Amino acid sequence: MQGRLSSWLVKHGLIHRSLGFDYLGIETLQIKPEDWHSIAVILYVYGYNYLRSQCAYDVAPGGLLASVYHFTRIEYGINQPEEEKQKMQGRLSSWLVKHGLIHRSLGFDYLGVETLQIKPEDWHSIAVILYVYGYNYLRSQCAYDVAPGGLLASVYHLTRIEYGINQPEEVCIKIFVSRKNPRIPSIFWVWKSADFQEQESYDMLGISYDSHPRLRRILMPENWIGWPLRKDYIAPNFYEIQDAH
Amino acid sequence: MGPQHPSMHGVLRLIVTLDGEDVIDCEPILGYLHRGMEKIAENRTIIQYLPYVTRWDYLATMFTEAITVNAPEFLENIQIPQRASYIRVIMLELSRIASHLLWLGPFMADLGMRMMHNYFRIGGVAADLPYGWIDKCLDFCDYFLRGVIEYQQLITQNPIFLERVEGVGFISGEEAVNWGLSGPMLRASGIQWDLRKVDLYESYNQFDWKVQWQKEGDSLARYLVRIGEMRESIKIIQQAVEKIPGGPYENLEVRRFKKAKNSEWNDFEYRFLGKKPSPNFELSKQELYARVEAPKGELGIYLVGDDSLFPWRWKIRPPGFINLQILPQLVKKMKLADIMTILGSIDIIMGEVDR
Repeated sequence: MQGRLSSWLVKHGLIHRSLGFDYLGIETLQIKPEDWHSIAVILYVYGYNYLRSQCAYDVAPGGLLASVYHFTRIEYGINQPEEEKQKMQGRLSSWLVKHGLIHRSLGFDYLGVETLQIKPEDWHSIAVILYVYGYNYLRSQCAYDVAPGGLLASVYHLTRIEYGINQPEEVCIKIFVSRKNPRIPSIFWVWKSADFQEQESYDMLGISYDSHPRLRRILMPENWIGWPLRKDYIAPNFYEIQDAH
Repeated sequence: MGPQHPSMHGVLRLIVTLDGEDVIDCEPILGYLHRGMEKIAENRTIIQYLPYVTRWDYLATMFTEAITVNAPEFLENIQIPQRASYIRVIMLELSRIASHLLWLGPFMADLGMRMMHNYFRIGGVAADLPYGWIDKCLDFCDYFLRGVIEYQQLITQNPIFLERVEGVGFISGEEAVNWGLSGPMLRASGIQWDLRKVDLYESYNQFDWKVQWQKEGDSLARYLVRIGEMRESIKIIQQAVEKIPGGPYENLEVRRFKKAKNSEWNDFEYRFLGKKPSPNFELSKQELYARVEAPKGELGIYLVGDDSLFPWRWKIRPPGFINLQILPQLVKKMKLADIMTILGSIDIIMGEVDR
């Protein structure tokens, strides 16, 4: 007799306990306090956009205290006008627009992979959302120099690993930062494969990733000065012609 | 454990924190073989860059060449003749066998060879197969199958081997996906993900073969996956050698002028440069991410073209680099001697980790 939301949470590996149904048939779940803020975001993304009521009560004398949240989903009966306007928008882009998440669609790359641009401030929440949406494999993270004297870009290729599919869904996310203060939130905590890769982007281009557990130079020696892969980098003590912009 | 050690893993330095015999933590320090491959690529044309790529993974050199040649081919929509595609598949699978054998070598006994081929070209391969090569190839396949069966009898039933390897370095499927692993490491944890089946590149869909995978997720499972892959590679080679079509081995009319992009092969409008691609191969201003299933995992190239001879950004996604991230987690609570087993089962080559 597991409720619908409970089975969905189980499928995505989110720890909770199902407390059955109350007298009017409303599904009741128990969540641990540590997990609550992430599960709250996930429920919001799932569609529960309306916190109807929040209350608290004393379970038993000398016992625990309970904090209760009633959620529901308020939906509109009509189609939102944004969907009609941009026909060439990718599928993920339309989904993000529908949920009101700010991003910019950069079209498709040469093999047809959808590319989106995200602002650095929004990145950590959108990363969690994409993980919940289904992109469980961070294939590759790299960074490059967009133009001499211009911005730096950090690129993430995400895909969904599933059994038995041809042509898996993939998406490419780009985050642009200025050269003066390149800081991007680290997504190590969402996809652990960003560990060495973000260190390498830091080493080669100088983009620092906030809240990465050990951000330091990985390929170059620890005391190296300068960001080698930037276009304006000059190799020291190298007296041949160098192409630095 | 210093940068050089006798078991041929390349120059990798591990700072291991021990408590008696138990390992508490392990920190890999990379960078001893960093040669600046990506920066060099920004100043070389593709043809000039081909000799460099064999130095990434020097045991399975065909894969590095294949991806270096595939990325611009996708960018410019170049078609390869069927024969060239089959030849490439045969070479790739032979290279995969070589890589797995050499992995098996320091992992168990002593054998191996190292060859820098420089064989692949954009649009096909550099030279056709010489006369009599196919028969030799078939003979090798038979000889090799017998060899694999012999290894299996010696090794897989050996209780000492099993004790050292079973249950060592366990990783679950979910975690493997989250850490971004690929190749035999992912397939040994129960995830059936093989880019040759998923992406369908280079005529792999015309052969009948299965993805090798195991459920356990420990070093024994990885060993079994690699042995299984060697046998499947032999199957693919035998089928390819039987079915190989005649025809040209290289697409000589590789570069078309930009204006006539939509014309057909024998059309009146079709214009081409009637010579082999020389250093004048131009990359248009697009970007893409191309990948192959190398023996170590997913080898990818993120190529940002620039409308000129040189790429603007040539990012190499090395499987060894990403598979190495998980080492600190795998060695926790293991004994000191198990570190080498786990490191061996991850199968890394420092040439591609450091680039």
